Amino acid sequence: MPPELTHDERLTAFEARIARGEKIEPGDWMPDDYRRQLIRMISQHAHSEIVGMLPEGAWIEHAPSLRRKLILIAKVQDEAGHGQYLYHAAESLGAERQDLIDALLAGKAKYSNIFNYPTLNWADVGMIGWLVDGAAIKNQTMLTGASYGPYSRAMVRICAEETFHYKQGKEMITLYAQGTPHQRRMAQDALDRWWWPSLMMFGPPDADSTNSTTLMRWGIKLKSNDALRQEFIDEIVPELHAAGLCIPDPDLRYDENSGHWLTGPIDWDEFWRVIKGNGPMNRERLRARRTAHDDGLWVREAMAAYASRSSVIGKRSTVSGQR
Amino acid sequence: MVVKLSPSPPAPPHSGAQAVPQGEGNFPEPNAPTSPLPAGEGRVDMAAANPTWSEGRLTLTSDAVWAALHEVMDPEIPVLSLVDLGVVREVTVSGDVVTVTMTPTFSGCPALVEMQRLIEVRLLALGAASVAVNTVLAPAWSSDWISDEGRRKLKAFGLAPPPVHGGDVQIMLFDVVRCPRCNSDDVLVRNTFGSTLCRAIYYCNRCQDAFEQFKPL
Amino acid sequence: MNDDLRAALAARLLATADDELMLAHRNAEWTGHAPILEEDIALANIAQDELGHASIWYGLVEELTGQDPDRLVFFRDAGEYRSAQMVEQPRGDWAFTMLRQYLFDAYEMALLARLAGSAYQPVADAAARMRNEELYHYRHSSAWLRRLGLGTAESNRRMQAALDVLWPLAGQLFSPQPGDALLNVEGYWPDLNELRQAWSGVVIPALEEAGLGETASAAGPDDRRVHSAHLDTLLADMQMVARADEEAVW
Ligand SMILES: [Fe+2]
Ligand SMILES: [Fe+2]
Ligand SMILES: [Zn+2]
Repeated sequence: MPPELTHDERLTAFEARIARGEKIEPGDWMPDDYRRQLIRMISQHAHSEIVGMLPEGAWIEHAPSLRRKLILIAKVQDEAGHGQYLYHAAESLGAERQDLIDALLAGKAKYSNIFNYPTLNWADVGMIGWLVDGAAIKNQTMLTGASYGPYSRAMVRICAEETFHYKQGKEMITLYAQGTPHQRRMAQDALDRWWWPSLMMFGPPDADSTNSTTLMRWGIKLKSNDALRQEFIDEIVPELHAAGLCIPDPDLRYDENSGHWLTGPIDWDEFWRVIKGNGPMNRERLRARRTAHDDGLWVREAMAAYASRSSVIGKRSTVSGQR
Repeated sequence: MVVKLSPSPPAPPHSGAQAVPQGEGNFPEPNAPTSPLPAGEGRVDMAAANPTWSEGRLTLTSDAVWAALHEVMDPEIPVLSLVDLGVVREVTVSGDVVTVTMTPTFSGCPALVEMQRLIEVRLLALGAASVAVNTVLAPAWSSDWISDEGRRKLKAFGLAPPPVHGGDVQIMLFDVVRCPRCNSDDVLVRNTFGSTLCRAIYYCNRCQDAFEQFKPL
Repeated sequence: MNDDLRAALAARLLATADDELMLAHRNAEWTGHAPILEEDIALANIAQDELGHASIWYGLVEELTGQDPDRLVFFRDAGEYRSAQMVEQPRGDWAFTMLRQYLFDAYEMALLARLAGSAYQPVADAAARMRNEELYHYRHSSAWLRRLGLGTAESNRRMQAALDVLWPLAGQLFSPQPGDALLNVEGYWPDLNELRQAWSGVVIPALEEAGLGETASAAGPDDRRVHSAHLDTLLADMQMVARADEEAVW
């Protein structure tokens, strides 16, 4: 783009590109606010993948069959891989991964509220796959259409993997819901605890959602929180019913006129409480991440020392973690 | 000192010298999933794989079965069929009983059971009365078995296809990797282990963007 | 195959499977807690591979004895396990985990290279399947051996401390079980003494190159029926859910 254009002309051209459905790529001109909003969203998404390893990871050691153990390790590995991939997407906008991680560890960055709830029984792992990955897919499928190229491309592959998680979770819970009394209790107990938090994953009601208008004009966000939430509810309610599970909402009903499932009121006070750091597991999640970070300090120092030495020798290293 | 622990593994059978497809500079947009939650399975696409009817009885041919399997996609790479992935080794049809022999990509592939289920669902929908899916370990799957079409689809999906190595470990580990978007070889490895067993993470200096490679094995 | 040979092969396969299972279990404990994100991914990946290998070996045991792999894993007590103590040890620090991984990967590479020529075809097929995967592990843990051994004074000290614990334990990987001689005669399994020579020939120079020094050659455990107390703790965690409901299909 020729340099003599004014900021407003550039902005007009930029918005026209988005309106035409073009993707914005790393070297392209973009408004500072677009860059800032994207870094915020992508890094929150990356942090969610990283913190999201913890609740499910805690059950790897207890998985009750070889196959379930394998599937769970694979799933948590997927999440970590998504995290790395998303940090790269944020870096393509000029962010530094270390700064983003520092913000997370300092408690200054957000990540998905859902991971501030505890995993209390083995069936939670399946319920998370079904509900949490199911809800995440809704959001991420929308984001495959996002205007920023690296983010939208990452979402396509991430969605494919999340879909697999969702299917595995659904398969597991469906099996347990028809299994022994003990398994049925586990499955129902998991649903009772994960139902409402999973609905909150779509974020606050549209009326209370800041940022939304600009994000939508710039094609970073394509559907409203409430619209996505309703889509999710309409799909997941019949699935849970088909599995023979009881959704913990006495007000839940099907509305013939609109064709939608309508839930009772969501406890938004709880949502804000958790987002402000006072959920059941906020402190524990950050503690775990900080411990990993602090315990790893000497390792990172050794890596840096070795890398600087071997670059002097001119050795080419292709081992992970070398930067 | 280079530590040599074992000789190169033997070349797998079927490892034809396929060239890794080189893109022509077009950047196909990846196929975005249209429905967030997976669609119903076992859809019957009669146009793609038409079993023949003779004397009022359904006759399954092995061609029809292969064609149907061509529509069964990898659970984590929805553009790549199990046939293009090279995991379907053999199909035998005896009347309306079908036996499919497959091999896992990696020993710890978490998708194996799901692949077996998808095959069964698809072939029952095709009209098979019973379907057996056997798993064999030998000959061991090699990424060389991914078809040319599979390689094109991987690339369009944003995954750099693995180099054809013919069993040569040096090529397997150190061949030039190209960005699936721009074909540049100005790339850096960021992690030899990616989000799944079969992937590595790279960074393309030209696109200033990360990409994943389907790892050679 | 006569009964003695069958029993000997099943016992050897079981020990091999148990080793892979324990290592996978310990490595997976790092998921979410590794020093860099890349290693959360790598360790989970390696754990998955080792668990895949364990499943294959248990599957071969099942073909010989009819024992269900999940019953073997989730309903045996410590005394019935045949894993080596080296892989039962807690994950320790990153140096301990990576050095253990290196020592085990080198052992597994040497073992699989020989097993690929086993006269028992299912073993040969399984080994051929695993070898390329193992190559990725070996490359990874070898790089960490050098990086930590030659990194900083602290990383070197931690590696040396890990070596002092692991070296006496490593010998158990090569200690014979009753019936091993039979397997060797049939060409089913390599001679463990020869395997040990090959392994030492690789790892000793590599350890030296990584700046690690002499370590006490204290005699470690020999008999695979003898376990550390760590195995009890590990099994209590691993078998908790499965044993809470024996009737359930998980
Ligand atoms: Fe994820
Ligand atoms: Fe292994
Ligand atoms: Zn590129």
